Amino acid sequence: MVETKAAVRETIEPIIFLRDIQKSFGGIHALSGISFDLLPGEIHALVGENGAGKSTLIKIISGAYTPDSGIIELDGKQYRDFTTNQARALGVGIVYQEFTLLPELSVAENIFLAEQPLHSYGLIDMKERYEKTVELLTRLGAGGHISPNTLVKNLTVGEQQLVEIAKALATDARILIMDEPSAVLPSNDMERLFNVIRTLRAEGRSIIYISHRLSEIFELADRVTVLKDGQTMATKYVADTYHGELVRLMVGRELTDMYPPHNNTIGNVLLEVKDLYIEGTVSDINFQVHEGEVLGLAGLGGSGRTTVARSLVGLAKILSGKVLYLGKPVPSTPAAAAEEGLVLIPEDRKAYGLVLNQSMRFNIVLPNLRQLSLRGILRGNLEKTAVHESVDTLKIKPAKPEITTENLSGGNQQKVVVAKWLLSKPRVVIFDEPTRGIDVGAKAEIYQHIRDLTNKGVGVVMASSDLPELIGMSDRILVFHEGRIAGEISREEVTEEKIMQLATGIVTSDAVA
Amino acid sequence: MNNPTTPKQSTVQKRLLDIRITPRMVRWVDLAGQRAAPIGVLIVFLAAAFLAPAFYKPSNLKTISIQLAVLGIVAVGQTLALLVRSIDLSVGAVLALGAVIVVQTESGSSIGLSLIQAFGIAAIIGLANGFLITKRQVPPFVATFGMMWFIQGARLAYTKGQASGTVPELLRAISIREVGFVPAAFLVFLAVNGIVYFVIKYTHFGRWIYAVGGNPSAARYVGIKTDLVVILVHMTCSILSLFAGLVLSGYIGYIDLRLGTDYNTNSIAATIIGGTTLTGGRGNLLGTIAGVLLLVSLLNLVVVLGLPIHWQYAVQGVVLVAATALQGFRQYLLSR
Amino acid sequence: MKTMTNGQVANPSFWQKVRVFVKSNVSILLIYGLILVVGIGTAVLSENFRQFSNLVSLFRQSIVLGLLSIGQSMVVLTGGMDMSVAMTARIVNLVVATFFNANSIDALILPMLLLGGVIGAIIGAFNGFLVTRTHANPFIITFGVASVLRGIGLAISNVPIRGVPSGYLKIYDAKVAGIPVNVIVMLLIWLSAYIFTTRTRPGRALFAVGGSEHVARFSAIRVNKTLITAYVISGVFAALGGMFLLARSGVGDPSAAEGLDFQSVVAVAMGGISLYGGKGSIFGALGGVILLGLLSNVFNILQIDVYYQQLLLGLIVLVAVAAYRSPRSL
Repeated sequence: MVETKAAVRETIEPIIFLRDIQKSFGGIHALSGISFDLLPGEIHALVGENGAGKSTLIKIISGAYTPDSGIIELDGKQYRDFTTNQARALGVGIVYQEFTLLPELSVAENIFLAEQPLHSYGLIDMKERYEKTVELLTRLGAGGHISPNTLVKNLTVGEQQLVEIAKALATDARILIMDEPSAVLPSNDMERLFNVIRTLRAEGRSIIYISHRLSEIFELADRVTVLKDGQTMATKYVADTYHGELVRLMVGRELTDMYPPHNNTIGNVLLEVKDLYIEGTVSDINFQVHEGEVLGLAGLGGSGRTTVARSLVGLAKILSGKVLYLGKPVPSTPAAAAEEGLVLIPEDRKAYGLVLNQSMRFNIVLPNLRQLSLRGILRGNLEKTAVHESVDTLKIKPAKPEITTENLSGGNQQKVVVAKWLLSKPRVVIFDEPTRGIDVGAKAEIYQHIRDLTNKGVGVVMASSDLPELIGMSDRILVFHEGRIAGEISREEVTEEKIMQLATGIVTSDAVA
Repeated sequence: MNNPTTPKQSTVQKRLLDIRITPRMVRWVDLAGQRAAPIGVLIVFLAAAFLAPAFYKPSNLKTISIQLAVLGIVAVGQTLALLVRSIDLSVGAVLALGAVIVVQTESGSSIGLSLIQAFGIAAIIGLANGFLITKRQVPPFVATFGMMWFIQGARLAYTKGQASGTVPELLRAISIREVGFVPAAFLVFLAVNGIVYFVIKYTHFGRWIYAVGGNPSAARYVGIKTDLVVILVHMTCSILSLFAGLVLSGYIGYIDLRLGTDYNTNSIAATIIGGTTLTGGRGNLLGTIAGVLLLVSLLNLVVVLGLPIHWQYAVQGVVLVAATALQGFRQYLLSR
Repeated sequence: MKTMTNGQVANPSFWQKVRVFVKSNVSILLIYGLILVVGIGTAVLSENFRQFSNLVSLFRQSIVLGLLSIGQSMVVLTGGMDMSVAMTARIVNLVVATFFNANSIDALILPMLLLGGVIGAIIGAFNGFLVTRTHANPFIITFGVASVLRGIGLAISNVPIRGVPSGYLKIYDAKVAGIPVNVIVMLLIWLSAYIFTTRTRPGRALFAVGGSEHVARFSAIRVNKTLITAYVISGVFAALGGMFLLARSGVGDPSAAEGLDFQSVVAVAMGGISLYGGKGSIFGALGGVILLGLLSNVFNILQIDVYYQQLLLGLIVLVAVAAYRSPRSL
């Protein structure tokens, strides 16, 4: 259902027009010269890898960020400093991935939080608020399902998302920005979402739609803009392009020499996964991890890649199937698994990784207290040696163990996390997004360290959304799609395109060329 | 996926305060927050030298040291509680309870038995506090406050409003008796701090405390039993408060039913002034000692200067407001 | 037709409606349940309790705590706490008494009432200013302010201040058909507070700010203004409490309102207003106040040993808060 606008392509004025937008954060360029335009009544998809600049771009359009330079033009008027209130007043509504709803308040109240309808005598008109909410929800196809008086905390994720959209509509947004709406939705809710979006377009509104799932783009969008490394690669009519071209625009780049040479001695099986069925519709998982190998796990957000990694140490509920570590069933908590030598280094540094207000030394020592004590008392000299060793091996900078971890750069923080788990000399290490948000230099050092581990016979599992990293480091890559393993690619044959094809479900493993 | 870096929001920054926030300001505020208590102490002692030399009389210094000891021991317990994101409003009540129990039972049974009973009860109180907070998710404020009412009521019921009995010699020995020219209480205070300091720095439990307060989910991920840590901390806090009560009775020499009312406020104030945060995971004993010293010496100075009692409260309040405002602002700046 | 979502089932059955109602109002039901149990139990046991005059007296005795608790509710809803309410009440009590002492005339009554309110508002504004500008913890900072106020109170006087005009005492004594006017007024005030927090924008803003300052700001709510409003309201109500105490005792009392700061927080918390903010009901807070007043009254009527009263009070509070689990917030 793609409308051709060929005849009107040149004559319609865009609602929003961005030119040459630059934005940096502390020296790191998020956007270097972006151009973007949005026509009235279109669904405009925004695609690109992680870190390409999509989030930054939409935050600029919604007024949350101010560009360092460049022009923002709305309805023909130019703006230099664009605030969120201005954006809202001009009709920009945004639905973030992390919802901005108050769980303890009702649906109706959340929708009209910014401006609750009033009686003439000043009190909130509950009836009008109720009716307007019903009207909005009905327009979105949820009138019968969601009651305006339900507390948001009692809704499913899909319903909450609809409430978020209703919230944007309540301000009569002409421009609706949706940041990966399908990432959190179960598939049956997605069709409903698409219908909602099409309805909005029919009303003359414009939607900017960010998604990783190319199939959605082709089903839903009129035009698509591809970002890469902070720049606009291309803006095309969806009808004029195809899947492969988008992939090429998104990822085509030179691979650098970041990745140390591979180790060729692969040993025995350390970890074995059989017929795993995990809560959240991940099923039919089978694989093995050997000594000295790096097994890569690839797949888009929600594909099951992270869930499988987490289930290996008991962080995701396994409904059936077996995970065997050194021939025995795996322990059920991360701490117990770590004691056995099976370690998961989680994605979320802030929640699970570091006690940020404590020193490097504190954090490195924390999971290893027993190892560094004599008869229950921590020995300062043991601590010192262990910490210095870690700092040296991982090249943590600055090499001062007393420094508070929150003052370290992201890369060095990640090194501390790695250091603390590796102190106990595990035999299998699972990395979940090992280099997310880290500068290139630190990345290379972490890769070297991973290689050192495999040279010593440690088995490594690496779940990542960074394709070059997976390709550079893995001996084999399992690609996940919609909760199953779509295919396995060996080191010799792997290319970014092949991974993306399996990950986006365009091809099955047999057809990978 | 979101932007990998953690950017500052430039548009929001300008509107926040009418004051421009510069890196220099952040540095100064941070330093001030860290050094507030010791600097304060210095100011007080200097002021005393000029305005009220009587402050430095040996008898006054001894009084200060004993008051420092009592409040200090309570403050150690309170510090531990704050470190694990909790708070203990029952410390004053436990403090008063201890003295009563020992004196009342001493006449009938041995001092040893009374002491065991007293510490046992304190442990149970701490256990109850910890249980309510961890297993019933009662906010620490409410749990320990309700406990305070209960304890005070129990004490009233037990003593029937009458305070009687003499203080056993043992209590006087650990309190007002002097070793050289230093009151025993002060040495006891140093010992308590030394022990707790050792525990914090060199034992697993000590590390767990900072982990639980600093990042509970990370602590749990590493295998720390966070509930147990909180319960043990509350038990420690109650036991320390009881101990402080014993020292206090040894000092005063009789049982006063009004004991303990100010210790809640002051122990919290001293700990906060010393740099411990209410949000957990940050703070240390040295800071608390400085905070206690500041409060005690300041209040003492007010008395020595002959200022009427309402100055005491005013001073307490101003110091608390200033210290909290500073700490709060500092935390806010550091988190941006 | 039923749907599979958790949102709302179309046409739920009566019992399902009951279940939803109970689940979302656990704390209020608990508190009022306790009130009923204690009340009916005592009514059965004691004839004195059942007297109309006693019930009236019960309500009248709860007025001071009630006034302070209304203000406290506003602040707690925003996620904070106002530990200066008791001392604010005391200061206003003493200041007004001092003015009356100099000039004990009825004409001064109205101006004094206004003055008291203004003093309360100023103290509240100061608290609000501190909390919003320094981002310090409200509990501690209002604690500090309370300490300063306590000192000021002692400076004003440490003995009772006489000289309250007889007209002023009517605030406490006036009755209409046997019911004290102030009880009626109090009920109206509670009603207004209820309407404010459920039906006005500034009232709902309290919940938004308490729920998440970040989300509130994103929804164009003026967070700082809301916070300062909450503390000013708290200050004004504390002032009203202090002035009511003056009418009750007839003298300015240097130990007025002792302990009521903590009591108001406990009343509010027992009534289901979460100390973390963003959740709860004025109606629940009223329940907390009534329960505390009721217990006090019951203890006296049943002639429970004065020394056991506090113990029982503490025990009941602990049981009341331990009885229901809220989701783990750590």
